[in-house]
Amino acid sequence: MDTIKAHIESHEYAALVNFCEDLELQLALTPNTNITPEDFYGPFLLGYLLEQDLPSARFLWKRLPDSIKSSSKELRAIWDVGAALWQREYENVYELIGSKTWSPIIAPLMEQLADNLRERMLNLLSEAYSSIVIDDVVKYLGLPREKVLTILEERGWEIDLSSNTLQPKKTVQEIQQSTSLANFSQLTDLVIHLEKS
Amino acid sequence: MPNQNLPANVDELLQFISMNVNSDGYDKQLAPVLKQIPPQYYLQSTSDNRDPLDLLDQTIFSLPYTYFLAARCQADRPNTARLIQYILQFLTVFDANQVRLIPDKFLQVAQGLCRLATLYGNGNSVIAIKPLANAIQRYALTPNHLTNLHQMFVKECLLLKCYKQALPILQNDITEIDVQVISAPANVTSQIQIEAYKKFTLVSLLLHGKIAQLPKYTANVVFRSVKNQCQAYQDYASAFESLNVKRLRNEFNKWTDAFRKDKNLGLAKQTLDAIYRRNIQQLTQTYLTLSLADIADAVGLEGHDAPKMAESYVLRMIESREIFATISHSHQNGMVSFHDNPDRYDTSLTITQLEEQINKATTVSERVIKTDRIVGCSKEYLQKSQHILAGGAIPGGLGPGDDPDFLGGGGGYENFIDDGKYFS
Repeated sequence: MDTIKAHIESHEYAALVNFCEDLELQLALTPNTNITPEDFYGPFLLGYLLEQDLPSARFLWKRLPDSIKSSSKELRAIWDVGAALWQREYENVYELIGSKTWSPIIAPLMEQLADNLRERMLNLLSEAYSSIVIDDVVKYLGLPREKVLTILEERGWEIDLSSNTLQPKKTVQEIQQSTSLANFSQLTDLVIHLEKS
Repeated sequence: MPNQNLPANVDELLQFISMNVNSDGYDKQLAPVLKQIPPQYYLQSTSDNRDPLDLLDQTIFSLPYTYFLAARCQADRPNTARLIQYILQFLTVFDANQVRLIPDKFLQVAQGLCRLATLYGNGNSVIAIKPLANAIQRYALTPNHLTNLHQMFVKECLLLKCYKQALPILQNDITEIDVQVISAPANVTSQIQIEAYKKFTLVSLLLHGKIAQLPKYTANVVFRSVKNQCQAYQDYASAFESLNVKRLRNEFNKWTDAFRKDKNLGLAKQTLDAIYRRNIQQLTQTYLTLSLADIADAVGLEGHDAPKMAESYVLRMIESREIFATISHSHQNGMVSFHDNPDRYDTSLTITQLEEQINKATTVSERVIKTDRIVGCSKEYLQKSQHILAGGAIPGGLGPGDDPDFLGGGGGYENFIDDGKYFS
């Protein structure tokens, strides 16, 4: 249990998922009454969602014992979020996350999930749009209009209130260029191989 | 070994085992005796009422231990929790060399573990997966070996919906096959192949937008039975290839029951969605700019919020890098301009990817050379080639080298079927 918390605090979600995968198998063998299903499966499921591994999350939900599914409302609610992600109903995701009070262990994960999604959306929008209606951005980010405008102004998006649109600032990705001796050794290996056959 | 020399009870058996503990003894003395011993011996306790499972060291005596475990697994009423513990412990420490001598017994243990796991966990237990995955890794000589445990393990993964655990095991190219697992490829089509073809059809529609051709080495019988038995899928695929949404929907409605019966309805539904994306992709080849309303119209989206739906498709495709485009709302209605792929493949990332592919190709070609040499040395091959030299023909087919069509000509698999018997 402590390991799960430690992973959550240090934001190591890949490690969290790996740990939970092992723990799931262990718990099946030696049930540990100190760990409630919610404490374990909740972070597990969310770990998959944070890693954007929706198929795994879906199969985890499918293989959960029915008794746990029906007894835990919170797990159900977490999966509702996952299902909304699966359906790409992003507006709904924010609403589902915001409309509930999550238990202490889940809450930071949910916050992170929403933050990640927002970041993802911002990148996508700035790539896909040369101008976009403000209300649409509000939906994609799940934040109040005022807040959206301040965030985007900070990021250098241009706001045109007369036409109610935003012009995203394109993020230019740095292109790394490097050649090294390793390339040459690769090349020689290849030539040797070709000569051989 | 004559019968009177067999140990008469568990005590004697244990004594016999401990006397033969050296690498030679396993193969020659111990294994044949263990094989002949009646199974009930393995279920007994010793005369001072101790369990042989506790007395034997799991690593040093892996071979006899496997016999004990296998017998326990077959017993009518195993002590589930306890036996699982023993097996799990065993799977982490067994001596792979010993166990490989008795693959059938080891398989029984593995199967036993799965069965026990089901009993223990009320039919929904994942206990067996991880230990088995680790065990297979140690049991297989190299990751490229296919063992008699593989099939069972993958099936277990599928049943328990632990698809992710099966992947690392399946990702290795299987090139070496244990003799125990070869099942002769038969000349009849199995139901599995048919079902696989059905899924293959739908998945390749999703990915390529058409049915990808089956490789040339596919047996003729498969082609034939696929044609006969997968009518629904063939029709559906040609409807998809026509990119006509109405036609696809009609076909979908017509075959819904068939899809549902085959448990492929989910996949089929995905193709209904995919056809819009396929259509949008087609548009990028013709137009530079289009309004969202025009896109919706062209791809067959209907209803008053069709432009909005088109927008969300376009956005989704931009994210998955299926198309490159920008949407603009600066005018009244949204406009989309399509671009070429901005990646000019001049980054070091491209080089790395290229190198990876080259490396893969090199490894494969080395393996091919190796296998080629092995085949070239084999008795069967030499006999056959001598036969050919002497003027005879191989019954039932031509060698690939004799066939001009095989390398160059190639008229697709249609004519491949017609003239026949390449691989029968």
